[in-house]
Amino acid sequence: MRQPTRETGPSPVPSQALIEEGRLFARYLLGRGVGRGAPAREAPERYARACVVLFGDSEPADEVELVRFARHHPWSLPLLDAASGLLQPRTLLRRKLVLMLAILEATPTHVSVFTPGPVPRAKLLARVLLLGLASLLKAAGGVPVYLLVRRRR
Amino acid sequence: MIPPTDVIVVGSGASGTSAAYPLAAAGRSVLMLDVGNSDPHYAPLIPDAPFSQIRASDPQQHRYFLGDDFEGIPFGGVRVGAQLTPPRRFIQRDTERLTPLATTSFAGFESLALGGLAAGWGAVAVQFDDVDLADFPIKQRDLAPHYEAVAARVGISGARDDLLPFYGDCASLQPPLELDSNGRTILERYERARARLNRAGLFVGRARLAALSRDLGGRQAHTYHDMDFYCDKERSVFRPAFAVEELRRFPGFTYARPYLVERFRETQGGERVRVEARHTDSGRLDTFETRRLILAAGAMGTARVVLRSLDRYDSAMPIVANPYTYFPCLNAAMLGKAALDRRHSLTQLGLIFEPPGHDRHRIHAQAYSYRSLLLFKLSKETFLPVPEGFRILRDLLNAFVIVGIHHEDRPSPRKSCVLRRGAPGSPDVLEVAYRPDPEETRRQERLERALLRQLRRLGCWPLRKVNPGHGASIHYAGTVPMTMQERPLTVTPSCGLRGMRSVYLADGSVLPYLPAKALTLTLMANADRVGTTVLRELTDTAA
Repeated sequence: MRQPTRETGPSPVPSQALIEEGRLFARYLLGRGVGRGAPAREAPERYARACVVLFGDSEPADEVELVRFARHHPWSLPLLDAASGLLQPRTLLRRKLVLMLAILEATPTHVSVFTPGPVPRAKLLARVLLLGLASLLKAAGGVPVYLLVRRRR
Repeated sequence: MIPPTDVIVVGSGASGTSAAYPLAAAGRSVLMLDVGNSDPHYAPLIPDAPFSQIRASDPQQHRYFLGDDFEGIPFGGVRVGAQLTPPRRFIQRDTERLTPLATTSFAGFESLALGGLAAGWGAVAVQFDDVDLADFPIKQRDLAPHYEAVAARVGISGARDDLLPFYGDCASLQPPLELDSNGRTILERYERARARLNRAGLFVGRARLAALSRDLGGRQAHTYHDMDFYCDKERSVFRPAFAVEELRRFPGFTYARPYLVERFRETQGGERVRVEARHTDSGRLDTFETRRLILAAGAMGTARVVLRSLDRYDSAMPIVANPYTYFPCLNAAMLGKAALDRRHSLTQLGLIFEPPGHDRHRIHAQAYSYRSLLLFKLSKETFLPVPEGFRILRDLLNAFVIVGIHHEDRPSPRKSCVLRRGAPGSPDVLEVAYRPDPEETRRQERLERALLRQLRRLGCWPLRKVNPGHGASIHYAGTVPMTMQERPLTVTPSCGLRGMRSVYLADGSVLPYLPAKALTLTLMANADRVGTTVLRELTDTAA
C-alpha cells in the first residue's frame, strides 16, 4: 500500500505539458458555462504532480497515444472519453479524467459544481435524460475516432 | 527478560482491550503487546468542522481527502477496504510485510494498528440472540452480563424499536443518533407499510451504534459533522485506542509497542507462559513471561501465533467470513429534494430479513447515505462520459442510498487456512482458500432477490449489485473454534486453548461460525467474558 511521503520527501517535478493537459481536462470537466470554465489555479499543477506519482512509464502505448491525441485535438476529448467509457472504462484517459475530477472536487473554488441542490422532479428527469442523450451522441461519434486513434500507432 | 506479569494480552483491538479491562480494573498486572501503528500525519490537518464547511473553505482538504500521494484515489474496481480514506490507511500499514497472506480467492484484510480493525469500523454494535448462537457451545445468557458491561463502557446508542428482539437490550442504551433525510423518509415509509413488510420477513429500525448521543467519560456526543470516515474529533464513535488510554490509567497496565508476537510456550507445567515477540523497529526478538496469555490478534493473526507455537505448519484450519454484497439504490422520496446537512456518516438504519420458509437464514443489512466519500469515486464506476456521469450522480446524490448486506457463514472443507513456513529471514505466510459451495451462493442470491423486492416497497430502487469478493466484509472468524468436542486446534467454551493450561483466545478466532449480524459487539462481550474468567482463575489460584 502506498503511504504518504510528500510531507518530508521531495516533490516530483511535473512537466509543463502535464500542467497544460490538466488545464484542458479541468476545462472539459467543469464545462464552459459563465464563471465555470476557469479551473482553480492550483488544480492543473496538482494534477501534473499526481500524474508523476500515479502513472509511470509502463502505461500501454496505445493508451498513451489516446491521451496524446486528445491533448493535441481538444475537440476529440468528449468523443474519446465517451467511447472509452463504453469500450474500456479503465483506460489511461479515463483514469486521468477521474484524477482531475477528484482534484477539482477537493478544491474549495469548485464546491458548488459538486454540491447537489433541490430541483423540481420534472426538471431533474429532463436533465438526466438530456445528459444521457448527450452521452449517447458523444459515444456514437466517439467510437470511430477511438478505434482510429488506437489503430494509428 | 522482563519480570512475569499476571496476564499478557496480544493485540489492542476491540477484543484485546475488552479482555484486558476486567483484569486491569481488578488491579492485575497486564502487559499489552501490540505493533500499534497510528496516523500522526493526517489527523492534525483535519479541522473540527462540518464536511460542507470544510469543502467550501479548507484549501488543504485535498491532503486528507485524496492523500499527499493521492493514495485515496482508487482506479481499479471496488475492493476490500474501499472505504478506507487516507487518514485511515494506517490501519492496514505493514501487514503485507509482516503478516503476508497468500490467496487467490479471498480478500483478507488484517491490521497491525493501535485499535486494530476497529480503528476504522462502522460501529454497528448489535447482540447475538439465541437464534444466532443456536450451534455455539455458549448461550445468550452466558454473554448477557458481558454485553451489559461492554455497552456501559463503550456507549451504545439506538432505539427500542422493531429491531429490539433481534438486537437485544441493555440498560445503558443511549437515545439513537439523529437520522438524516434518507433515513427519515425510508423509516416513515416502513412505518406506513409495517404490517405487510413484517409478514414478508422484513424488520427495519434505527441503527444500533457504538457512537454517543450523550457525553460519556471524556468522549462527547456526536456533532453530526459527517466526517466519521476521516477523523474522531469528538470521540463519539468508539475506537479501541480510547480504551487503551483508559486502561493506561490503571497502575498495573502497560502498553508495549511495536511488538509482533511470534510464538508462546508453556513452562513450569503450564504455570507460566513464555512469549516471544519481535520488536518491529529493531528486529530484536524479546521474551516476556506471564501467568496467563490472552491472544486477541484477530482471527488470522491469532491463527498464525497458535499454529507457529504448536508447530502445526501445513495443517488446515477452518475460516469463515460473512459474505457481503451491496446495492446502490435510489430513494424515490428524496429525488430532487434538499438533504439535511447535519448528519453522521455511519449507517442510518438496520434491516433484518428472515422471510418465511428460509429456516434460520437471516440477512442483516444496513442503509447508508453517500456524501463524504466524494462523488468522483462513484463517477469512475459509470460508463458515461466523465462530465455527464458526475452531473447525473450529483443531481441524484441526495437520494442515493447504499444497502450493505451480510449473510451468515459456516465452516466447510472448502474454506480453510494453512500456515506455510517462510523462507529464512522472511515471515511465515498464511494461505487462505475460500470457495463456498455453489448451493450456498445460490441460497444467498435467492435471499437477496427477496430482500430487493421488499426494498422496492420501501421506495428504494436498486441500481446494481456490487460484489467486492470473498472476505470483503472484514468479518473473519472460526480459525480456532470453541466447541465441546475434545479436538486439537480448538478452544473450550471458556476459550482456553486445548492442550494448554494458561493460554486463552479472545477474538473472532473462537466463534465457530458467523451469524449474519455484525460481530464486533459479540467479540467484545466474549473477550470481556474471557478476561473475567482469567481473573477468577488467577484469584482462585492465589486463594
